[in-house]
Amino acid sequence: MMDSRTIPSPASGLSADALKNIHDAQARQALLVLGDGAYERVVEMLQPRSQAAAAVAGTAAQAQRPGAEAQAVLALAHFQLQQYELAARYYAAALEIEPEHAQAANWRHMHELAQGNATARVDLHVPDLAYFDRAALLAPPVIAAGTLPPLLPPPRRPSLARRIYKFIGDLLGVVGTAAVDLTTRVYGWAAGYRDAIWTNWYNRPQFRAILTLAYMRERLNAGNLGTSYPPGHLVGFQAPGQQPPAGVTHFRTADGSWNNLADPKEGAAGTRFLRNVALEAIRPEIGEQLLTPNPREISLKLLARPVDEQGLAQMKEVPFLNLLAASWIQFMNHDWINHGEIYYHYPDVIEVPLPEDDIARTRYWQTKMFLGKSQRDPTRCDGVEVAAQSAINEVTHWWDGSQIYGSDQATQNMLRSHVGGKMRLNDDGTLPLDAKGVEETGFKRNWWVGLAMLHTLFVHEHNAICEELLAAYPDWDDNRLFNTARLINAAVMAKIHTVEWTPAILPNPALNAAMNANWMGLAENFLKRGHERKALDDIKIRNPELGGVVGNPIDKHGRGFGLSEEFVEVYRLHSLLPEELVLRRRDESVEPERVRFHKTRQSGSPRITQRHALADLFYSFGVQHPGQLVLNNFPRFMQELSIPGNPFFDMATVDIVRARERGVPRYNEFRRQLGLNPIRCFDDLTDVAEDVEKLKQVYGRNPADVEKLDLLIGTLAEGHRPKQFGFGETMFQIFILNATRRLQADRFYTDCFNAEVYTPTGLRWIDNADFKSVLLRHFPQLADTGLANVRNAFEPWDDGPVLDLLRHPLRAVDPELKGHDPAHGDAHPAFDIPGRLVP
Amino acid sequence: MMQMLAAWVARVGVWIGLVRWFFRKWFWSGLAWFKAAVNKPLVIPVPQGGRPLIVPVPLSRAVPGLAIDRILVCPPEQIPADERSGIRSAFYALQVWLYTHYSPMQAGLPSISADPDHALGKAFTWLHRRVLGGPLLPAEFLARPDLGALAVRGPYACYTRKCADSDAAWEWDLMDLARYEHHPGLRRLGVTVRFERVSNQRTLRAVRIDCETGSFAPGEAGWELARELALCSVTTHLALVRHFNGVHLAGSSPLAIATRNRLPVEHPLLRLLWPYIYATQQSNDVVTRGQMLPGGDFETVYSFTFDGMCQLFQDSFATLDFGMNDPGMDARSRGVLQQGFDTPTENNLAMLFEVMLDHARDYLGLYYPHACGAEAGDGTAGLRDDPALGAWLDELNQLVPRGVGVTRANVTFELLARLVARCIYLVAVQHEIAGSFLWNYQLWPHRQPVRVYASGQRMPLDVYQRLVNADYNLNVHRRGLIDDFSYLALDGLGAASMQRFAQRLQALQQTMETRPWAVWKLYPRVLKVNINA
Repeated sequence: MMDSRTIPSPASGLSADALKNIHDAQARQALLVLGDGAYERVVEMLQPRSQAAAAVAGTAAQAQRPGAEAQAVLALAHFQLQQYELAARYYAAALEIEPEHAQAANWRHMHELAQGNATARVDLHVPDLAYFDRAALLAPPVIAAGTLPPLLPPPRRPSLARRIYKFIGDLLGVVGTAAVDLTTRVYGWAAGYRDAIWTNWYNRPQFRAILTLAYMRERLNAGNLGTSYPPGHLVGFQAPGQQPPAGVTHFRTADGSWNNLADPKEGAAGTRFLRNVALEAIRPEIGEQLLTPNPREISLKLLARPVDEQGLAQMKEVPFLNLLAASWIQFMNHDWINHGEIYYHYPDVIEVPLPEDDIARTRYWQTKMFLGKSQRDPTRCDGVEVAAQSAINEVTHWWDGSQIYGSDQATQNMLRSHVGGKMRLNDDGTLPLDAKGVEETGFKRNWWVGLAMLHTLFVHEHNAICEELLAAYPDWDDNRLFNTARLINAAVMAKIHTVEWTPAILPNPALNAAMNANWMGLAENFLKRGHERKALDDIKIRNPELGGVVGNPIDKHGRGFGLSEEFVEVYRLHSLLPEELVLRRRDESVEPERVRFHKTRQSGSPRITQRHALADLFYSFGVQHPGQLVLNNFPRFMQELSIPGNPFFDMATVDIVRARERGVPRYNEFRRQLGLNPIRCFDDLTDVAEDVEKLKQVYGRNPADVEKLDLLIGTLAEGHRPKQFGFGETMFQIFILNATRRLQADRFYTDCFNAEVYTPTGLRWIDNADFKSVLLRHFPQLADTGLANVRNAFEPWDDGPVLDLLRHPLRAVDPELKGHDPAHGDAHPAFDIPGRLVP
Repeated sequence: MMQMLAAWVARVGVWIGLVRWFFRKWFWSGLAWFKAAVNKPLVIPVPQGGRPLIVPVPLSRAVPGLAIDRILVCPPEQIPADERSGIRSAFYALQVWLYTHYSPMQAGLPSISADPDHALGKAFTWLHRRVLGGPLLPAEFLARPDLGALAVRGPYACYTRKCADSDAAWEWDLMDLARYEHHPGLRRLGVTVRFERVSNQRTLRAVRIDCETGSFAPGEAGWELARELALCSVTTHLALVRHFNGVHLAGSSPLAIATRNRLPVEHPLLRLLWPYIYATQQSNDVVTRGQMLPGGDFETVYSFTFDGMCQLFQDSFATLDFGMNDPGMDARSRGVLQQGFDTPTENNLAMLFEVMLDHARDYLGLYYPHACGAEAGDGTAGLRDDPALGAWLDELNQLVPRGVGVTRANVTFELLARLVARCIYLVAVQHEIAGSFLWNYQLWPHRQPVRVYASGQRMPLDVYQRLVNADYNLNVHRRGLIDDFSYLALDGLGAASMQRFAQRLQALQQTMETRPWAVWKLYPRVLKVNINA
């Protein structure tokens, strides 16, 4: 709960009109107290009457019972006190007394919210409330002796054949690098990459489109890799000259330190977000500027999903994706980025005025919404800082699976079984629960069942890798098995994201080829098929485009690695989430259960995994669609979210405020910073007249008002996108930059991606893994669902023999399906003669 | 210096061995390919009269060299003339001769590759692929197999049985296999796997394995080896006991003998059963020689020595139950239906059996009209006074170990229909799921060992190659169950009934095709009409 003792009255300025419809005198009196934020007093005022009434049975007691309005006020007081079970009870009582009351619809709505919040126990901080500590952040990384396994004897000298292959790969790399670099630069310089406003790579034939993308990436690498640390300082202000502890050359550390042996905290948890814009463009917004235009108004007018006659939110679906794509990106984000806890106490609170017509005024009896500010960076040093703002990443920046392994050693140790390298799982295959009834895992902020499913899946994957390693290396101990399995598991996740999730949300042949090239190289992508493709083939061309980023030398383009504030902002993809989950059985033998999303949060998650088989949950997600990343498609439930300490929290408002607060440029300036042309007016942004008009209403009609356009709103409004692209080109720039960099700057995906570190068994596991096989590996029951019918498990799991290519656009451009009818489902093979399956 | 020389000599020895293996592998792979390439689906002729009686003899007499007395089979000289094939017999004789003169086995070869795809690619060559696509990987084998998943889905589901000591536990009891002599250097088979229900997942979970190395729970140090032994035991039992002993020797052979011996050529039941029994004796004779004789597939691929294998056949023959060919009854007797976990394979098999039972009722209703329907009374009219039918049942009960459950004295229309359905199920479904179907499981020895070496090594090249070739030849093109056999019918009504059967199978196929195909499922179109190549 926001600290009501130190914040001004939440309902100050609420008009007297608001009370005129309240007929119960005591309710009116209580509302006045409620408006001052004195929720406990309201409870004291109203609760004795109701308790007495409850204690006395019969008609006489009914007559003494408080009226519906008083019950509703009492309910709201409990809601504001985060006593959601009581709140639900009193809203129910109010509705029972006066189901036709003028406020009944609001009470029903609040009753449902309170019930969900009670189920999910959203009043509890998950994890426990804790703030960054300067001393801890500035301390050198500590890797206790024995934390990482000792090194094995160096491998035998490669055979003559291997050495010849390497020579050929190096030679091809020299020639290839010269050719690729020259072609990219000359073509990019001559052909350019943008028209009057928008980029144009996607209008070009595939090869030229790939060259254009490579050129754009090269420009971004040259001009948009900035740091937020002062010049001359190592990351985390570490003392230079620290010696790498034993084991860090071959294994990832829990906190991500020592990936760079010369800069021990590069990319580690507890270090700063970096920047992709010039330092002078970082202007944290404060005061009136921070709230202009009013972010809540933006939320309501430009982001809210429309509702139908029944008041149900209407989501625009992405027809070619399933809901796993939505939970996947949140799962990945939690591996990469988080700003940690927000503040809850005044004055570290942003007060956002609620518009006059905001229904939240009536529902919550507030005229303002209170948003905790982002945590300050306690490592800032007066006098040396060059960036106007900096913030700390709570998790490791690396693509290391920290969301399931944790970003500190204590968490990692707690999650391990310490037997056979495995992580802890319950006997029924679910994750163990913590004392608050939420699944134990490496990162559990913003928890809901979609995350629980993926965390569980990849803990299973980790354990399966351990079994495979143990079979191949029976002498290995628990620690070596665990740490090697972690490397492999992280690479499996990185591969799935690179070659499956990204092409699934951006189904375009050039991009599909480019993403595969990131992993295994263009040569492997175009010359080989299926499981013949290897990240480390016999002949590995020493060039990132031709031979792949993975397994080739590390390249940081002259700048240390870390994810950026801009990266955080473009990953605000909440519109992907639906309002409710439709939970089905694989065989559709029972009626699906519809669960409002907020009931699946925090401890609501294990309630679902106890009721529904995990295989059924994956199936349910496989056939449900996420929402489109466009205007007016933000989940309604997220605009009225309760978080621990704050019962009324609009995530859409937060999305707007955070970018401003953290000094991420607004839309047009952001585009300029990334080498894109700015828009000149809102009409440039989209051809949808209704959207343009709404933008003008909110931001103003003056031509200069386009400069006020928020980054999120601009990106969602972009109507000029490559065909079927899930999001627009402005966000795409950050994707281009980071999709490669996350791999290319990580020692474990480059210099150390080899058999010595990953083992031959591990490399084979990674080569053979895709999302579909990971799902089937742990839930073989899914083999007779639509999952078997698609190649990319993020596509809808349609199970019929004929697939609609509008729902499966990637199949039309998939080189693997060349020669086959792409519309023919993979799980409906042909029979050549009776009984003989054509493989 | 001497050490270096010795190492060099050893290295040269390995190379020479690999060169020898190259020729041997291609010779035997060529032979396997040749058999598959020239094999044509059997043409089933209309049965003719004047057939001599078959007098079964002990296997040891029919196939000298096999010391198995308890199993009665048709001796080679009594193989009916209409199914005798001199070419096939000669070919198999040559094959058996080659076992001793140019064996497919070669001592001292290295193990197969650690990469399953690479290992299969080397053994399942381009030549093999000219005739058949390769085996497909079941989803259960994408990781080290979850025995709980295999207990309800795929060929091993038939072994899952409720424990006698608990209402909430199930088991695979394969401990009997421990009694038989195995090759030196291999682990002893014989396990009991105990499963418990995971209610919220509607699955089973293996919780304990008892085997020669001890008793282990998941996560314990010996679990991985115990799991390998469980998988090896279950696949060995399925291939040797349930498939060859159960389907070929204890099921199909007696069915064919009794049908040929006791049902006249104009008897409607003979016409119904004819496609399912035709050529059984010829086929069983050659296959028994090729697989069971010393140096044959069974001895060289599986764990048991020749003597151990013979003893296993001898002992297990008497325990085989014809009731396993009635999937619903079998599943109920094993206590696996409606127990709070999904049983996809049981559901699949039940659907197939239902079509067969419908067909049996439909066809028999034409010829025993007074025994079926609402007016049928006790359902025996015309049955108990049919002498041929009585004799057929007598001989079946005499030859099939533990009988078929229907006798001259208790036969009713419903029992007879169910028996006929079981006979069709035996040759079409049981033979498939325990035979050809198994190659999708067995050819992934990294997941599904058919031998477990005490040293922990992987299978040598020759053993794997032989397994590949043997399973390859199980999958040769054969006459489909779904084909039209109405020309065998006595009359138009019988022909129409047979056509309706084909149509029902086709309809089931179409229904199943609306759902995604999966490795573990058996489809009507993959079923064969009999066990014969």
